[in-house]
Amino acid sequence: MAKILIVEDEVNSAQALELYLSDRGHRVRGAADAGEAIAAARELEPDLLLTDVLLVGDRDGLAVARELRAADPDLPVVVMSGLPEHEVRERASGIELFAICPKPLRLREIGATVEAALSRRTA
Amino acid sequence: MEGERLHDRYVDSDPEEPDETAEAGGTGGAGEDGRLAELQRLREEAESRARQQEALARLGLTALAEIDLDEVFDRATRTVADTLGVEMTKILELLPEGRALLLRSGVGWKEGLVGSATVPSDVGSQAGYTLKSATPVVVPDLPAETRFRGPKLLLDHAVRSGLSVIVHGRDRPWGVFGAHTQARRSFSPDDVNFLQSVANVVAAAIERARIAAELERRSRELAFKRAEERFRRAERLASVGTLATGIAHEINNPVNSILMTAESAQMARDREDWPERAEQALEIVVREAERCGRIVRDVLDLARPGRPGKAPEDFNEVVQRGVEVARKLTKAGGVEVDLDLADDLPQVSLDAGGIERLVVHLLRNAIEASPAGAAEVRIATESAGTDLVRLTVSDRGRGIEPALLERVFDPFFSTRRTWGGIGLGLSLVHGIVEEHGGTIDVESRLGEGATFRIELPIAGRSQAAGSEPARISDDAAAEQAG
Repeated sequence: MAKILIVEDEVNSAQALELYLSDRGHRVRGAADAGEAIAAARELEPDLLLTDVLLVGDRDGLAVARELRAADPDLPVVVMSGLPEHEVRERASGIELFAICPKPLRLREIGATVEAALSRRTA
Repeated sequence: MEGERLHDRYVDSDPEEPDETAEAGGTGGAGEDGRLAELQRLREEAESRARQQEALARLGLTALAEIDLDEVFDRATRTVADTLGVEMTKILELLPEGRALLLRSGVGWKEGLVGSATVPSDVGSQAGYTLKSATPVVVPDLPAETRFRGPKLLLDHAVRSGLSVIVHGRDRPWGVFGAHTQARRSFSPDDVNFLQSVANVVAAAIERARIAAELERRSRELAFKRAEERFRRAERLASVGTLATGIAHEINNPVNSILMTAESAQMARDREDWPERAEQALEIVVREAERCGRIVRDVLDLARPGRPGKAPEDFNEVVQRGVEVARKLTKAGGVEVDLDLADDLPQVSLDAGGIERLVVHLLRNAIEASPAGAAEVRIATESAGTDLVRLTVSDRGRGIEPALLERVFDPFFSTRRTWGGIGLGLSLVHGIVEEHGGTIDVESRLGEGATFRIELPIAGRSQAAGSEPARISDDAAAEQAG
């Protein structure tokens, strides 16, 4: 079991992800914007950040990653986005990403990526 | 009187006896002395002609090679001064209004006059008289002149004798070329020919410069036009790119939800709560698919071809219909719409469907900007002058940041993502206003709401039954006449 923070402002997408990952035995917290995500992370102390890039508000998912990495430099970050990969990499400058998963997502793929990121963390 | 006529004859028609030779060789002497004097005079005349032709040839070369017109003028006035042996020469340019001539170039004039002094172009001045008579004008003695008065410029310089010719232009005289002396002297037909030839060289240089300037202007215009076309194309491509990215992104979100929700339900097939999960999933799938449909409709609306059919309509009725449609679509509670419709509006030529959609989008926008369940929107119509009607939609919502005001009409520009609006509404509004030849502007203070003001031309009133029969028949008459 791992603790996973999911940052996604699309309610139904977030719900499907949360359900899927919790069904697989993980402890999951969802957040819809950067502020909520940072507050939740303090409580949860996640093993993995699974985040969308574009969020409502002035801070994106990569700002969340930057902030959480300051507290936990080894935190694996998996990004989900409909943006072109080069644009995600530009926005991520300086942050190492475990993976960029292009939207629309398949749950099984996300699941495999999450497990790979977590196993590297524990290894 | 007699003296003046003598002068005229002496200078104009008796050039074989100019001042200098008259003193030296006497007049009309017969015999050896006379013949010698005649030969001497002929030789001098030939030498003078050769000098003039050489000077003219040199000037012609300069005029061909030199791009700077002022340089050509300068060379021409110097050449004339040197070759004719006169103290003052001038090139006068007829100014655009035609009432005066400007001293463009010259030698022998008091400092500061070249480039600024003007002489009147009426027949009272020598230059004006030259323009009018259209032939070279020889002045033996300016103070005794009866055809015109000496203009201030010449009198100030104690000019006595002179010669002036027209510098021809393309469709009117360009100006006058003059040569003047303070001492009395005569000018031979060769002198006159020489000055006219110099003036013709100058005229050719002016025409060449004009053509060069025109060519440059045209090539600049062409370059500008090409740059403009490139810019427009880049702008179009950019907006196609923006549109594509926007549509992809907006469709991607619901598609992502549909895919993951359906997949999640599939995976739950063996679970006990499968029926509930499947039920939930189907609900979400339907909702998200509907959202895709809305986005597609909005995009198609944006791509709707222009020039909708317009017909005279009751503006208030169309606005009210739009408000009703918006109420049904939003289903939101707690929306207070205050309608303030002017009752004296003329019929307005408009695309009723377009204006209805415009009202729907503006109202939706106002509701979205307002606190949930507490939207206060005011919709007003009124006349704006004699040709326009105005529609004002104001809300008391969160307002728009000043920096973002300019962008609110951009496609896919949205500060919110929750309600299903995708940032096309105000773009559609803008497009509809443009199709009607109207204007839209927005005013907002952060935290105090926003006001959208739309003005549409009443236009096409003559189409309204029997409103302007006179004009219709006039047009018909004109058509028949044509």
